[in-house]
Amino acid sequence: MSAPTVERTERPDTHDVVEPDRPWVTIVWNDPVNLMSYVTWVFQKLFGYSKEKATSLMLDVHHKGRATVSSGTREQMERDVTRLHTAGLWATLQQD
Amino acid sequence: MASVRRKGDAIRVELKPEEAALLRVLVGEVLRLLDPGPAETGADPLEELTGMSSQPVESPTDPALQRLLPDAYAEDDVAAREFRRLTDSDLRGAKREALQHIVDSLATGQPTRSGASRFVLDQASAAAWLPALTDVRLVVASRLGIEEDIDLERMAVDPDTARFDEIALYDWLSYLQEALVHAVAGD
Repeated sequence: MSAPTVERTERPDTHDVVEPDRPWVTIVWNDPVNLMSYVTWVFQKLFGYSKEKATSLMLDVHHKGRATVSSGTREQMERDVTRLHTAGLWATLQQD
Repeated sequence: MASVRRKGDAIRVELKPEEAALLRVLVGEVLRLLDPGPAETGADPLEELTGMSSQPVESPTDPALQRLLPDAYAEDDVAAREFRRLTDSDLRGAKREALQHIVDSLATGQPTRSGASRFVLDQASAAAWLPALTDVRLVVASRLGIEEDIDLERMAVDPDTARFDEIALYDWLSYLQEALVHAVAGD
């Protein structure tokens, strides 16, 4: 085993490192207007979730105030947020 | 009271004439609220071609409109502004299109023997009614000051609340949407 010819003196600045593996997520927030039945229907229709999964996510929104409803690339999450806003739900995206 | 019945793939809706007229007025108000998007002055060639504004699009100051067109990024103002610039016009357009479905459906209403107005929605039309009704309810709720789950219950029992008509209207819209969700979902 040979010694490195160039001594590495700098550590990468972790603040500037892009972390492509950290997925983006879409979050739906509770609001006092949207009907539980409608929110469940929207999750089924937009994401193709089963009635059970959609209901479970809806209940998370209702009881915990928010739920992560999808994850993927930033572009995919921007599309999901737009579709949820079109449906009248309160949604945001962020990196997980 | 509104009646919503599913028969096969069609959904038959009956509204009292005054209910239909009221719904038409409310939808018109929300359409107007959504109409003059900042990017839609007609003077922006980029927007005309792509739906994306070349100018910054500010977050709405009207709380009702802010709720219809929320920020997409909760903790990143710069990203939220940029996203709004790119998507505001399309989102307003999609919402207006859904609201227009209600206007068009109401216009096909036929009088029944009992004096109601009856019209039939196919699946696509009913699926457009649901987000449109949501937007109408979001605006009415915002004007009523409903911000928390408990607010409506509190208002309904508060004798000082002088807004019984608006609360009744909101309840009626909720009833209509609930009936329509179940008809569309088939449960």
